[in-house]
Amino acid sequence: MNWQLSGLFREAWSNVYANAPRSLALVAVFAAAIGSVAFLELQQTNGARSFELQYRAAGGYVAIVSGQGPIISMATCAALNGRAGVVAAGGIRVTGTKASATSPGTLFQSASVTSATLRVWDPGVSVDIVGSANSFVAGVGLAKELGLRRGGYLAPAGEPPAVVAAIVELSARNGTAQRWLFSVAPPVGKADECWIEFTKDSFEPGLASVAAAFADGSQDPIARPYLRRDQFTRNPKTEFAERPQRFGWLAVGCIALAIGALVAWFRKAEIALYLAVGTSRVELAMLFYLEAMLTMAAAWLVGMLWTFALERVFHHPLPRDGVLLALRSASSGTLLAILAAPLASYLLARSNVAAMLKDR
Amino acid sequence: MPLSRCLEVRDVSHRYRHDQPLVLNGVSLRIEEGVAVALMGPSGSGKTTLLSILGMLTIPTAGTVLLDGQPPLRARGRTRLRAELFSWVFQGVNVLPRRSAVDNAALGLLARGMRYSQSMGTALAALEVVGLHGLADRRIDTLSGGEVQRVCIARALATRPRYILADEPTGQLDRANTAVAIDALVGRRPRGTAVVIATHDPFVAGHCDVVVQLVDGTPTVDSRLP
Ligand SMILES: Nc1ncnc2c1ncn2[C@@H]1O[C@H](COP(=O)(O)OP(=O)(O)OP(=O)(O)O)[C@@H](O)[C@H]1O
Ligand SMILES: [Mg+2]
Repeated sequence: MNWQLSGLFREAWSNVYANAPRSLALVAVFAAAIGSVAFLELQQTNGARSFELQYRAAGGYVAIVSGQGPIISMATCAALNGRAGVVAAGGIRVTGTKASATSPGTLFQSASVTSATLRVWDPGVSVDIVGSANSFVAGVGLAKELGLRRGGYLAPAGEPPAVVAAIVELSARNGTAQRWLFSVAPPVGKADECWIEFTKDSFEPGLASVAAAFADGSQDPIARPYLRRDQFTRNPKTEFAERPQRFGWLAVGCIALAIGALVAWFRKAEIALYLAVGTSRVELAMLFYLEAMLTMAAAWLVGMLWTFALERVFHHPLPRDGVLLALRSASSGTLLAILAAPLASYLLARSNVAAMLKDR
Repeated sequence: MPLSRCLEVRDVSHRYRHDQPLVLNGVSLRIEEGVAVALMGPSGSGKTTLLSILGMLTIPTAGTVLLDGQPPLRARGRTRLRAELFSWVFQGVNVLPRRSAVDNAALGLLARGMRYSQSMGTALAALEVVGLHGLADRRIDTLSGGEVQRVCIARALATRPRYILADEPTGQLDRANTAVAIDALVGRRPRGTAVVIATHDPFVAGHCDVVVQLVDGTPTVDSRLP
């Protein structure tokens, strides 16, 4: 080692500074490349996030426990509401077909549920529906067919009229019950099914273990997910694993290799000069790496700031995991670029100095 | 034999490729301490080749290079030895064009491990020797060709090497600039520094102690001037 380390640092800085147009162009190109990687990773996280919301809304974390016939304890089902990891749980017992007194031709299914059942089906349900024998809750489909309004009255054939306490939208989580009529009852007796919505993390373990709570010795109820596994075609995990931008850092490295080769070609005479004045190849490599570090660090800074600013302008959320992913990918790309950019110059410096000095 | 400080080639022959004729054929030459040698000869006679062999950039096909009577080190150590012994001035200009004159003049000093602050002072002194003191902070690409070549000479002088090897240092300069450059390179070189100048210019050769004629790369004619 001949050069003083501080001398090499100064030399690297002087070269970057003296060749400001070249350095700025490099910073711009790599800021764009690094920023793009960060941007795409943020898009990925935001996409996954909105998909996650959709998936949850569609009942992705809803499980149904059922047996052969009405053997599910309403009380056990309702008791799940207090458990950690359970968002809501409620039973349903089908009570048969009915018809409205006013339009006896229109048959519909009726069922008895607890108020928490309605919460599982429609998380947005705002009514505080108490168990009252004198009220009904109707699915949107049925309400439309029979012209029901909230607060209006419905008289099923052969029964006294009762108030329609709520009209619920069930298309997301229980589409088949859109034209059902429900009466809300306290959790007593047996149910056909117990519907449970879990939190995301509790879903899989919950699905595996919840059925045991309903076992009564004679029969083993089973728990199944509301959404069939193949029903939702998107799988966030595989999508994440297969996202093309996972190669973004490699792409940044390839760009660095190519541009590095171009720069090396233009710096041939300079390389020969450094060697001719007595710089060793190792020192020359260090000089190039220091230069690359300076430009790439600037490019990283500009690229990240630009990306985050852009996301802010478009009011995209900057979730922690997204930011971390973007930082990780973009920084990997930057490090690879620092390694790759000076490679061509270094290889060029390995060729014959005498020949290099001649064909300048 | 007394140990004198000298650089010597003995029976050196060189060809660049197997299918090509010899560029140098049995050349022997001895560069004594502090001497100024002009290497003359027509184009293609092997002047650049001989300089590059003397400067240990090229290993000759046959023959030996001796430093102080000893064969110099091999491979790794040679890079270092080369840096210590030689400074080069090239035909045309070889500089960092966007850097200042003093930065360019300091390059050889930095590559020899001198501290930056110290190198600036030494480089300024060398620029003064070649008459460029006032242009030290100017960027190279704002200087004239003659001034740039003098910066290159200052770079070579600054390190006070044992040998300055100059390949047609005045090839692109007019008479006035040639005179200034040669005055710096030959007339104002540090005591103990030998210069070997490959040149076509008899004016340049006239300022040297020894003139070596290379004719078609074959035998050397060593003609001493009065
Ligand atoms: N790298 C090389 N590969 C093959 N041949 C070469 C190479 N370098 C030089 N030569 C040949 O060797 C011969 C001597 O070249 P050299 O450059 O030493 O001559 P020179 O005396 O310096 O000429 P000039 O005065 O034109 O600079 C020439 O015929 C040239 O074509
Ligand atoms: Mg030549």
